[in-house]
Amino acid sequence: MRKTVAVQILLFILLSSLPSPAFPEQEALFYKKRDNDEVQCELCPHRCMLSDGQRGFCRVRLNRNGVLYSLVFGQPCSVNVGPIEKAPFYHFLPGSKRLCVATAGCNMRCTYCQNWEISQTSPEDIRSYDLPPEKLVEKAKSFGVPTICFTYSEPIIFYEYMYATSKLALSEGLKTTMVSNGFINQEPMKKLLPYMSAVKIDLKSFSESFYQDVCAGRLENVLETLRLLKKEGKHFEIVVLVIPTLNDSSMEILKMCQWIHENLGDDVPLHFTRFVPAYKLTSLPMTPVQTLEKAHSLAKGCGLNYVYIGNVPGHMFNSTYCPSCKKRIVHRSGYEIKELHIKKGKCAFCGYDIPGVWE
Amino acid sequence: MSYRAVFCLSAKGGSASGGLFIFPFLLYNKIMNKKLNWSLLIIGFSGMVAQIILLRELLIVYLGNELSLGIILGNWLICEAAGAFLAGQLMKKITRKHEAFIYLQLLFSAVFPFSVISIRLFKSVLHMNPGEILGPGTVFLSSLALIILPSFIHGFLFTLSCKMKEKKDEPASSIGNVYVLETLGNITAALLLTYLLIPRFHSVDIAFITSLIISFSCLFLVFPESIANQRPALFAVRLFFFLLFLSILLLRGSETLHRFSIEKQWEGQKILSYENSVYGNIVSAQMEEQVIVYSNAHPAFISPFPDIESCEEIIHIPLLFHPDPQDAMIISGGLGGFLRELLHYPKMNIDYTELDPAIIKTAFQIDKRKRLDPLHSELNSERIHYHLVDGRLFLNETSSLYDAVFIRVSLPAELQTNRLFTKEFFLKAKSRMKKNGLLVLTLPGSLNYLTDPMKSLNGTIRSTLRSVFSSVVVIPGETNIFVSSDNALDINLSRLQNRLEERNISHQILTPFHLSLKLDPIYQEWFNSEMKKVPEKINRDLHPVSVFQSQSYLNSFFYPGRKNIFSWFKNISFVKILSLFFLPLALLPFAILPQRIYSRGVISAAVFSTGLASMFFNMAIMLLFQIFYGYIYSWISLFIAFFMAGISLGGAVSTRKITDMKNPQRAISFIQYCMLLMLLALPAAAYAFNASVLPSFAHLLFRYILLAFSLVFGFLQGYEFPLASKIYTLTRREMEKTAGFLYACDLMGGFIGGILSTIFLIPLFGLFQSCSAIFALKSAVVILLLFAQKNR
Ligand code: SF4
Repeated sequence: MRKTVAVQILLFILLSSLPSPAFPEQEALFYKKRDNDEVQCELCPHRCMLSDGQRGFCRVRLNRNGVLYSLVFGQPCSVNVGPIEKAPFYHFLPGSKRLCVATAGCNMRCTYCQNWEISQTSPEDIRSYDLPPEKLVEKAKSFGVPTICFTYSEPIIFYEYMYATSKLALSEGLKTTMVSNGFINQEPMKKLLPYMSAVKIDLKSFSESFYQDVCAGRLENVLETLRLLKKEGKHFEIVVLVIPTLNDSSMEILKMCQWIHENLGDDVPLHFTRFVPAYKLTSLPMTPVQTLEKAHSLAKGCGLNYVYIGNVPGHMFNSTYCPSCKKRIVHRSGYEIKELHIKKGKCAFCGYDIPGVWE
Repeated sequence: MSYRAVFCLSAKGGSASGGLFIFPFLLYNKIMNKKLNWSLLIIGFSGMVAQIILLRELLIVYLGNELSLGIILGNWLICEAAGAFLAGQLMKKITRKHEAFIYLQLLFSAVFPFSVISIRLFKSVLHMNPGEILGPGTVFLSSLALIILPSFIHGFLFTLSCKMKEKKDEPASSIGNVYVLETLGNITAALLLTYLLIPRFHSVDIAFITSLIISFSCLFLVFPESIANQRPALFAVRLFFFLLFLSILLLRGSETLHRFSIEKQWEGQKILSYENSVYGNIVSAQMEEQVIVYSNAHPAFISPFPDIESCEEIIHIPLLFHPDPQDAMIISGGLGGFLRELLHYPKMNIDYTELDPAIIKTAFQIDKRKRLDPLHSELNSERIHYHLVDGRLFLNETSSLYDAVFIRVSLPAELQTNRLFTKEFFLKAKSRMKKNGLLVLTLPGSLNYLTDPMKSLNGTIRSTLRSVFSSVVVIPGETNIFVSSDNALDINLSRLQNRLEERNISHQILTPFHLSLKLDPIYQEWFNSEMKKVPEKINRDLHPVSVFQSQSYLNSFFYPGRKNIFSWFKNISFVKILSLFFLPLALLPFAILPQRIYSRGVISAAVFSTGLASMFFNMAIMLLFQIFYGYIYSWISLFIAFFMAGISLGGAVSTRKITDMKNPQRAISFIQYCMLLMLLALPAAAYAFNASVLPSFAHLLFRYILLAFSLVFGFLQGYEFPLASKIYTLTRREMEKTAGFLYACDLMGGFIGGILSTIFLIPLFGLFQSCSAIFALKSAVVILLLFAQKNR
């Protein structure tokens, strides 16, 4: 199985050694120089080995004369404002808005990507804005949003941009979040976390073969990231997109929930989201709601406290219930917060501590 | 002539009308009384059946669109052409031709059912995602592997058949005979498939029935007189195959294989029903409590729990622009949730049509078995009227007026669906609207980034709508919602929010808050500024540019960069395209070579270009018919039947006359002139009809004129092939090589014509310019022929 990913990466890198158009280049962080002007990127577990002129699997990191550059620093292609619940973050400033930012490129190849227009393309193939960190932070302030959210494609691959912006944003009183696949090496993640207010990780499945065949990634590395987030005490939420026939078996979901319970504790919010046909996976139907409900009860059975069903508007498990008094403390309808009974991070009814970033 | 299946499939149909074929049958009565001829007819029959059945199965697996259809057909034709060509080269080495003829047919009969099963199983065997669209590269390689055997064998058999029928004194007439017989076999296959086989049997049954017919033919029709002289082994093999297929069918082994293969194909789902309609394949399946109905492997609807967000947004937000909607029409995609949303309006009456009426029938069958809301309430509401006709035709003929017309077809990706996105259709829809009436349609979008193909497609439909309606509002999202009206549509958020609340409909997601997100002026401004960057094009019936744009969008899933064949075509000017069609003139300098060699080149070019022109001509006729009269399956079948009858008639007449023909070169030139004339007549007729300059009775007549065009073009093509063979054999007396090579040229021309016409030529340049490009191609051939004659 590992071969599948290795072959994909190798083929991609070989094919990518074409002359690259001029980009505003920023030297990349986390890479090692090797012999003969070769470099090895150490940002994500692909650890691409690149000769002069080659690009990484993510399409946005280029070796030029033995120096690795990020081609998307300050060059987002998507910048817009949306509700934080759409991420979804359910335990992070409910009802607030975020400035969403993304560049081209991704270090995975999910066949059902909802943002394939940008994630599966190279920076030269799309139009981007010139928004260095300072301008981006200014923009967030001018929109009056409390948070900058790095999202849509894969923020890991525009690490340098995200890192610089987060540092600046924090100093300007803004919060930062990232919506990521978690396929990143430990060292860069550790360096980033002090400047990140919350993280959402897409746990795409609990099967190594799914990761390799459908996403061109590896499960173990994502689990390592989750462990790191727990260790560093960062607020994070996990989203599992349940895709019919691919990652919806009860056994797999049960194993996943058990692992979360054992390694990350009971309080990590876990979202089971309904699949909607997208990109290349248009012939699978939407996930049966019963499958999501089964997953929900498996997770609850494992002792997890905050389990949600997403993308089924009106479902009772869109809302948050206090694990102690069982009352509904956040009533959601779509992306709207109808009722909020959390005060200073505690249940307004019984005073139980609710994990998250509430202020 | 198997590229006729291209035609059958692109028209999503088969063939019709038995009476038509009596004449060619009578004409060939003399031939028919020979048993070998029956066998040749069966080869034509089985080839067509295999091609259509395998293509249908492949399209289900590949979740096909026009492009994958083109690739699969291309593979079939290339393999068939290779078989025919190779047979020509190897013929001398085959000493026992009769035995080879039998063994190859038996091999074909074994390979055909095997291929059907392999197609259904290959994704599961190779651990591919069942619901994933495959890229053009994968489609090319896998379909090549899956169909190489039957198509290659069939091509080989064509040349071998010509050899079997060879007359020493006139080799070209034997080719002509086989050509005619094969066409008759094709027609029979198309007829039987349409009216008997596809509606009643599944593909595995059809494959085994065909295999049984072939083995019967091998046992009883091919050289039975020589049985006594045969080696017992040959007889035993023939008998074995016959009994094998007979027992598989009688003992329902084919049913077991069918069940097994579809369960593998739809792994993880319980199959409730499996039906082949004339338009495609309808499967209903169950996952947990959810029932899914697939149309050609795409989910057509699910119940219960539809995509609530889409249902509420697409139905209710547009209706907020109307003060009191009461009558609506939905074309396709309404079952399982959208119709239910309309029923929330107490006074609403709804007319509903589907692209494939079999979807509605399947929905009613499901409802009988199981009560699933919202499906149940939709199917049992007296306020919804189901019409089993083409949506455009319905709109043409109804006298009802509507407050809202919803088009729920996701993409104008084919000529058939594009008819619901053209200026002409919008005008028609507008004429069926009441005051304040709305036209609502959706297109793919994105709030993150609009790719170039997305922009072009959205931009074209937007300008097309704006050319008809005075007010067009687009609500951007993952799905862009276009609302058009002659009433001024104003995005006044607070007014719309008030209206939403006044209506007091219980929504799961559509609250005033959600409405404020959807109608955020930032998105409006962003979308409008993106649209300003694309040239304003109009999508018209006779210039369906959005088909190309949709295909380009689908292609961008696999080739997201700017350098691909679609961007190349998008940027090419018509003058450059025209010069491409003059390419055959590159053969002119070879006129100085010995006439024998030059003639061969010219004749090959003539046959190739006729294959191409004929495919284009037929596609153009189908387009015209669908535009003017709607998608009526029986008529589409009639066109195919007339065209093929034309070919067999032309082939028959030509084969009869060929022996005494003094100057076949002149005859073939004459055929080219006639084709040129047809290429002028078709757009002229279309123009006259489209511009309504004709008296009204002419409108009734037009469909018969189109039928006549089909017949005549078929006749010309049929007439040409034996003539071309004659000229070719005059220069090179090896009949089998001639047959193989010309057959290959014919197939390739048809294939290229099919892809070019439907995806590139007609969509990008429109009917009139496309006709002139084909006219250029045929003119170039005429010039080449003139030189060939001069050299004589
Ligand atoms: S970030 Fe990009 S270049 Fe670096 S290892 Fe990952 S895929 Fe390769």
